[in-house]
Amino acid sequence: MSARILLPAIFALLLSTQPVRAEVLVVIAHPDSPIGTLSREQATHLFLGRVKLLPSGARVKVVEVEPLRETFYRQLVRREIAEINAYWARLKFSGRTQPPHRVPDAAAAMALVASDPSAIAFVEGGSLDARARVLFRLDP
Amino acid sequence: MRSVLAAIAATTLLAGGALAADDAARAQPQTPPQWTVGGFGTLGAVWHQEDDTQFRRSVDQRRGARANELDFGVDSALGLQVHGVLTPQWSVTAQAVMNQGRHGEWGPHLVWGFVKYLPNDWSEIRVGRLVTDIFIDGDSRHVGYAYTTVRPYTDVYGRLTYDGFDGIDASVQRPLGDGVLRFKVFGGRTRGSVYLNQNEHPMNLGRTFGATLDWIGPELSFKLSWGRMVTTRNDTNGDLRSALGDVAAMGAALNLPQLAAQASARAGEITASNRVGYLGAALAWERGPFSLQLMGTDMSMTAFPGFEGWGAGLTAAYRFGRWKPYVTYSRSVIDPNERRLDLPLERLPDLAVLSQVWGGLHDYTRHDQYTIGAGVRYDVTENVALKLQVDRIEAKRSSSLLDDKGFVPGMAAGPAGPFVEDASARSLTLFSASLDFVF
Repeated sequence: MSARILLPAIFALLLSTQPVRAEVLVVIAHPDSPIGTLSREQATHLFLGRVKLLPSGARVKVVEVEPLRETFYRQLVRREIAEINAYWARLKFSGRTQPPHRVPDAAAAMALVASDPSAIAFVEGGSLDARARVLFRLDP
Repeated sequence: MRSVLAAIAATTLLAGGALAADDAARAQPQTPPQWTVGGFGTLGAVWHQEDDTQFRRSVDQRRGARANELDFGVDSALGLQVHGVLTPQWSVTAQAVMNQGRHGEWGPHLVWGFVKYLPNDWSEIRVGRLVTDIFIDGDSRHVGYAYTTVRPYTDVYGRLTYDGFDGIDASVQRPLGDGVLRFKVFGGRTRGSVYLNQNEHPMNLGRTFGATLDWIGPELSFKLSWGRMVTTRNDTNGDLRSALGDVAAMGAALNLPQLAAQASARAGEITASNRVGYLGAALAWERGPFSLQLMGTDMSMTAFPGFEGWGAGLTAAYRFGRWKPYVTYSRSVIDPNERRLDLPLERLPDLAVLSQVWGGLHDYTRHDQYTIGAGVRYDVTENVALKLQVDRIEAKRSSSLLDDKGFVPGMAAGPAGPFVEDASARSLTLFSASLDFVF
């Protein structure tokens, strides 16, 4: 293989931050959650800490799933996770609000949502079971 | 200083572990009361070659980076935050920062210390030690990890160092369009001071109040702000007022009515009050990897002789993966109100000292400086970022840069009055590296 082909390929690999496999992520809540559905704007405001209640008055506890954060925020707000981390540092250390709870995997998110009707989280569509229902679907 | 650097370095190493522990703690379902401890820091180094010139990032630093010395004091900082959620409505936050202070000390000072009450989702009230956010992201100016560049615009943010206050702020917000509109008012007793002309000018006896209006959208955000810092007990020029009174009496005794009238008028203008005013606007735009931030502010100060000025800053960046190259430009100009004092030095040579003081008084806040820079941020891990930056600073006159006189005047008193430009303008190329972290 010539260097003319190899070099751009290596460069593209170095720069690439896209996951190899696009995943369909869904925002979920307890089946009895008072939240019906979420728009993209509402999901953005909730996951970026701008609001903690919905217009209905329902209080929301936002939960992040560690291995899915990068994909989720890229799909939701088209920002790299480094930007999101800096954003939360700015909010936290200016006394505005604290970052969301974070769980290590989708199973923990499902368990938390199943036990707390105020919690919302994001998981891959394939991780969903009867303990939660979909509020918003993020198409990759 | 050495102990501070060791503490910062150790904290950097511990940051990763602390984050993991924090993640584990956050993974557990939590019910109030719930306490969290977090922190941030910067290990920053700057270097330049401009002789007899010290660079400092703000006018509350007594010492700056000298020529051909690798300086760790300008940008390095360490902060610790304790946050407690007492009930869903009530929480408390305390945050202290160690950085180079106005006396050259590194002792921690309380930046935030407040009780917050959330009566509902559209309003909040905070009471205690607070920080104004007149400028965009101005309430997180110590947190290097939170912003793109090595430091906020020195030309603009470096002028506002008495941004802390003990008091109250209250904000309301509501959805507007596809964004959130937020209005905040704040007020209280001013904290902080500036170091100019080898003198500290405290603002602790003053009052701070103001308001901000933010709209935060998916890609576009803007901010309008208005603020005042007022003190009626700033009589640092009281001796000058007395001296002018003596000159007025002397003029009357020597039958110099013009001198007597002018000196008397100038003495009457020197009061103990000082009103520092800010009016600002900022715009931030982010779309995918592109980001752009633009801000401008109008500044004024009534402390004799009175100053008017403006500042502006622009940062454009493009992120790909962990890398984020950026360019930045900022400028600020502050000019004193012209207060003429025509002293007959040929007839009364003893007044030469007063003439020099008069010129110096106009000079020491006079400011005209711009900075153009380029750099790159590399996010090493989730909580650590490395930044490299080069700045070219051009100062016709500067109250941010220091020399052995305590400031870089760029102007000097002369036969035609105190507004003759001399050759004191400075320019320097500043190299900066910083390791920012949060934990």
